Amino acid sequence: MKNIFKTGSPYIWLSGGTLTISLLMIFGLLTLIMIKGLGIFWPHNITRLVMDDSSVLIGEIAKVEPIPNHKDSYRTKMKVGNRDIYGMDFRWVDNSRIISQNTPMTALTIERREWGNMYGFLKGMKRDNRIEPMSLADMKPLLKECKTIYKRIRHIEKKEIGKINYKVEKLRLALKNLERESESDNSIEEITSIKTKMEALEKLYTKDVDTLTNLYASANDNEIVIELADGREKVLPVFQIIRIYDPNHMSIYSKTRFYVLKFWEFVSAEPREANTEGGIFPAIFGTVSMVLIMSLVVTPLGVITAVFLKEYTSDNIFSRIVRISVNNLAGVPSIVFGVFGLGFFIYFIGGGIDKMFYSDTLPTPTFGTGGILWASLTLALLTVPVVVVATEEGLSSVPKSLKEASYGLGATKFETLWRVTLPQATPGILTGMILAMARAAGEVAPLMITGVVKLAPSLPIDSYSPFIHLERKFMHLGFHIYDVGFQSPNVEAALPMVYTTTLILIFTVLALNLVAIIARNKLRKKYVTSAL
Amino acid sequence: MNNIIIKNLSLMYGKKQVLKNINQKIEEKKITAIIGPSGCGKSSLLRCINRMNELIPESKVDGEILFHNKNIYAPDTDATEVRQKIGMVFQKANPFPKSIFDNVAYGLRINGTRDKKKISDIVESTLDDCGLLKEVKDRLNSSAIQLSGGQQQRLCIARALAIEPEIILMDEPCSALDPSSTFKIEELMMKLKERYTVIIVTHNMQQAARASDITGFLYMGELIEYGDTKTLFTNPKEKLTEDYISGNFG
Repeated sequence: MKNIFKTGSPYIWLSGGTLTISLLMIFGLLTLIMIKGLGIFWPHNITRLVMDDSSVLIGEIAKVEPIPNHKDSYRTKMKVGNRDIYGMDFRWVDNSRIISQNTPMTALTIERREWGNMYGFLKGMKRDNRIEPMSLADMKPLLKECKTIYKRIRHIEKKEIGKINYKVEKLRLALKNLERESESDNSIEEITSIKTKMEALEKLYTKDVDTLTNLYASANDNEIVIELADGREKVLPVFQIIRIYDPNHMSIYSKTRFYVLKFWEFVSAEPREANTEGGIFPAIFGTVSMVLIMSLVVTPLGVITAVFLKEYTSDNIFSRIVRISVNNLAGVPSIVFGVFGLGFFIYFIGGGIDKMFYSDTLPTPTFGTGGILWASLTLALLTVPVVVVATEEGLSSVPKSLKEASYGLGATKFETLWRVTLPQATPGILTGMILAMARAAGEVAPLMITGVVKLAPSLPIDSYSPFIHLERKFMHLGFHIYDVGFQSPNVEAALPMVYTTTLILIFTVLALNLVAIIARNKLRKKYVTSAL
Repeated sequence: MNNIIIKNLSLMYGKKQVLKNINQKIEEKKITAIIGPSGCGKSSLLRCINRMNELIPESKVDGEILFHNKNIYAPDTDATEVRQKIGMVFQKANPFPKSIFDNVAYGLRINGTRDKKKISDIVESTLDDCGLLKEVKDRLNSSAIQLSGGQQQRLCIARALAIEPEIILMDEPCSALDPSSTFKIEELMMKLKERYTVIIVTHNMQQAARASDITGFLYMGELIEYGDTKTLFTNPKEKLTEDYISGNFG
């Protein structure tokens, strides 16, 4: 018995076992997210169930599970869609009550702009109270036409009217300024010219609104009739349809194609229907820009702090206290940083900026409210200890002999730091940055009070000068998960979105880290101190 | 002529006295060797001469070192200027993880030389002086780390020479090298003494006897004997010196 311990193998087994458990847990988590998250874009077959009370249900089977405390009996969760008619997307049925089950070839899944999916059969086109029969292929040109109209409407709503609003707001502020400042003849002339400009804009606006009304009217011209499971007929404007397909009839190839297109839509489009449908592009964009701005702030801050602690102070009580305090900052709950960010950055600094530079728009705050800049700064504070610690480690790993070589050639402390020590410590600094980015990308609590919103009307970067709008609120993947999963009106339908969004968040963090890791490894190769 | 005069030099590391009241005159364009057992303070003495010991926290210097009749420890003297004039080569070759060219050009760039042509001329001529140029001519831009140990040490000498110091301090430059590399460095030292004053700290008594003109024997922080190398090795005045060179201790 004693010999077994002497060989040391129990310790190898113990440490190996712990590693295995950790790895298994991580793989388990990833697999769960992948299985739950990647399936949602696959076009599921539509099942038709006839129940014992001769009612009929059609929809996707979401889950079959045993009924607790009832031996050998199962129940099925069906996604029946048609939220506007049935009131909810899902329905539970006892398997014992199902009489027959089949997959009708002509059943359709219809993705709509509102009210979620609809399942049914295509009856035909509605023309003056008659129903003209039509096939699924006939729908294609109609849908294409509607898509063009939709794009035009979105363009006018977002871009053109947005531009007019932007200009009107500028003129309004200029007018307010003039009226307040002076009453000379000059200013009266200017006021009149501004007023004429505003009137012109007003006219443009009315014109745009008219175009919109016309577009909406023409969009609702075409209507199709859908037969629902219970035989009821439902009239549906083509404009409401995003996608219409017959999953039971689709080949593997077209299903795969559908899947890829859907996935692309998910990562590239804006969300619809209170975030439960559509894409998550603004959230990805917001997360990435927030993390990048944060790294731009935290890296110099952390590196300079570490340089001071490591290179310029000697090891005394003061520096030791500072070092311990900085390290302990990493343990402060993130919400505390959020509250600090709200109080200091938003109310104090942001409010101050508003008072000095944006007093015209007050009481509407510009910087004095949550925004991507303040959120990034708050997270930078949160992650600064990570960068400081990693940089200090990087600086310690620089051989003393190299610094001496530099000093011996008459270099000053700063020259040595700049030309020898810092380049040599770059891999360490980048490690700190990687850890900081990983931490920041996953943080949600402090963001909720410093600038994240459920739905941001515009991205922080756009085509209006000054192009980068740091005061804007933004969307974030972490918050999106919370919002879709727990705050959405239709949680059950949105649940798969939670997994997919989680997956995207993990991949975003991975991608950000990968870039930094590749950069670090390249630098490591460059700064190998010894070939031996 | 005396280039450096060390007067009543004492050095403390915290509470530990490393050098006690050293008085020494270093002659110009000669090789001066400092020998002594491990821990006797040879390297510390060398580092005092270009103020490198200041980098060690809690070190304290008493006394004067006159360089061109000016105390390098005077409050108005800049340590970086001292180090430019008094270059140093270390025990272990410590090239920067940069290219061979950049290693030699480092000191020039630090001291404000911007002219690319001038830098490249100086780099080539110094490498040539150190006998390295023909070995590395076609790979000046590859990393200095790939050179052999002896080549790295010669590169470090070239790096020190590039900024044209007057004095070269060598801290056991050959202790990590094989005999043929050692021989090359000694050859180089002979060449250097035509233009520079060389002070070398060494463990190796044969090396001191072979290569130096003047030798000092340091023991427990005190300069026991100092004089012409030949005399010191053949006819030492002090009993301690005799014991040391005959291998009775150390």
